[in-house]
Amino acid sequence: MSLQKKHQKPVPQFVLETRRQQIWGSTHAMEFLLLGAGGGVFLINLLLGSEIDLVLSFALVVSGAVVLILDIGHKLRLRHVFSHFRTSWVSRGAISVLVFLCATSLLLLARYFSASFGYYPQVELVLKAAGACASLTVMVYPAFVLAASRSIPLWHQPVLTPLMFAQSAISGLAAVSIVGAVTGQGSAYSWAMDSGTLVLIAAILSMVGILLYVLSRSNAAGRESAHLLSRGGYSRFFVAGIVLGLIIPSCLTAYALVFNGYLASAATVAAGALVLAGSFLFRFSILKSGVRDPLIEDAELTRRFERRQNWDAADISAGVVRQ
Amino acid sequence: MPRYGMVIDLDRCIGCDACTIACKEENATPPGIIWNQVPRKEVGQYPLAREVFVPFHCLHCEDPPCLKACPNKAIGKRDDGIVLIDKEKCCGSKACIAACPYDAITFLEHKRTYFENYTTPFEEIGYQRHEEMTATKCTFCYHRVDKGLEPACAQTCLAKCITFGDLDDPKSNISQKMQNTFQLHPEYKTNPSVYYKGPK
Repeated sequence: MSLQKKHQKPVPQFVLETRRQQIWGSTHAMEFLLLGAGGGVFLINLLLGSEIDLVLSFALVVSGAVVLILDIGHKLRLRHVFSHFRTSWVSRGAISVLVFLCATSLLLLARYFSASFGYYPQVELVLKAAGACASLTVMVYPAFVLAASRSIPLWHQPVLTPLMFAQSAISGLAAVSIVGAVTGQGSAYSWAMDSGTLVLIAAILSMVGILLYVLSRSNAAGRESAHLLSRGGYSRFFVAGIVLGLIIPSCLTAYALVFNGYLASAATVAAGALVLAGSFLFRFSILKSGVRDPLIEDAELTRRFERRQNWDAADISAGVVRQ
Repeated sequence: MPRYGMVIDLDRCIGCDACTIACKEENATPPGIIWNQVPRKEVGQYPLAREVFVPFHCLHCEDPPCLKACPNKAIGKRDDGIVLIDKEKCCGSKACIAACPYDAITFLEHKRTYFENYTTPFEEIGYQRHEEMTATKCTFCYHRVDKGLEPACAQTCLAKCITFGDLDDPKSNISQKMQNTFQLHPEYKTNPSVYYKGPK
């Protein structure tokens, strides 16, 4: 009998200084990417009306839900996950995913069986409205889940919500572009999609700039997050997310916008794949760079013990030795 | 109904970690799970430097963010202010861990034992109170409090730096020690039931 050494993880330490969050990482980043892209594809489908986009959005959201379920500790207890929607954004997100899946599956059924059962435009309108509301929630709810962490300045920034929405929308555009080019059903609105991609890239870059600027001027935890993103441990993921996921795709998309032909289609597919990869890296680095405020600020501790230090200083100068 | 809380006198704490050991013994937490810790930090500069010990565990907030974030309603607050996680309901979504601004909740992945290929009788009985893949945190030793006893950390503290009692009772020990106390991060507006006290 000996004390276990194998497979021992370090004991999580409460520390007074700033500390990185350790709980959320790549699984959540993948889940947020798939759910966001699925929601984005649905909204694009509402504008363009391609049947394959509806299937794609359904598949993406189902994949995101599967990743979410795999990460949950007790899968069977998920049946209670819809019960706390009044305050919990995880609960609201789960309800949105359920509504989204119901709406998209019914829309698909309605399309496939409209010849047998007739076409009801009012029903389709209601389902589309429900799906649109659910997809909007699915796209942005991760930002609200993160914002619940009041001690992590990076996650508590208001700009994170539009940033998550824009990232989800551009991921949706990328998925639609890839599937359209691969299946040879390139959308007649490819010009609009390429323009939308460029606008979203510009918006995301502006919001990232705002985020880093605000963080670099916030408290110690915020500054540490900004450092981790720009020069620290997660900078390679963050920079890769920006360069691979935004800057290179913007050049490729601009090329596809100006030129036509095989190379332009290849550029669109490459841009889409890079956007999806970059969107994952961006989300991953945002999650992993979450730094918590110190339990007690240095200034607070110093202030609290200042008076005692003055006593000590008086003792030292008077040569008093306390027993 | 009382509203239980604690006052922790930082000037009295000697950093002996007796509260940590008492908590582990009382609640039989598995390896890697420590509900009560005493982080420490140096403040000041030589010759006026000193080490500050801050006994820390769940602060049992009046407005707990973990309770709001839990999708399963697995976290509840009793009428006496003690915030508890129901291990039968917790689905392990970790939403509470992210939401707790004090990082006081930990995730129990596996109930490992302290000895290789051997579970002590103490572990066999004690580990029944814990469930794998759930969130876990300090319970203010509610099972002791319900019997009129103090939490294990408060009873064990050698320097008597932890005072437990009814915050609403003006005659209680804790109410008389509330002067010059402060809460951790009042800006989070969670109103923790654990107060810290600086030097007199």
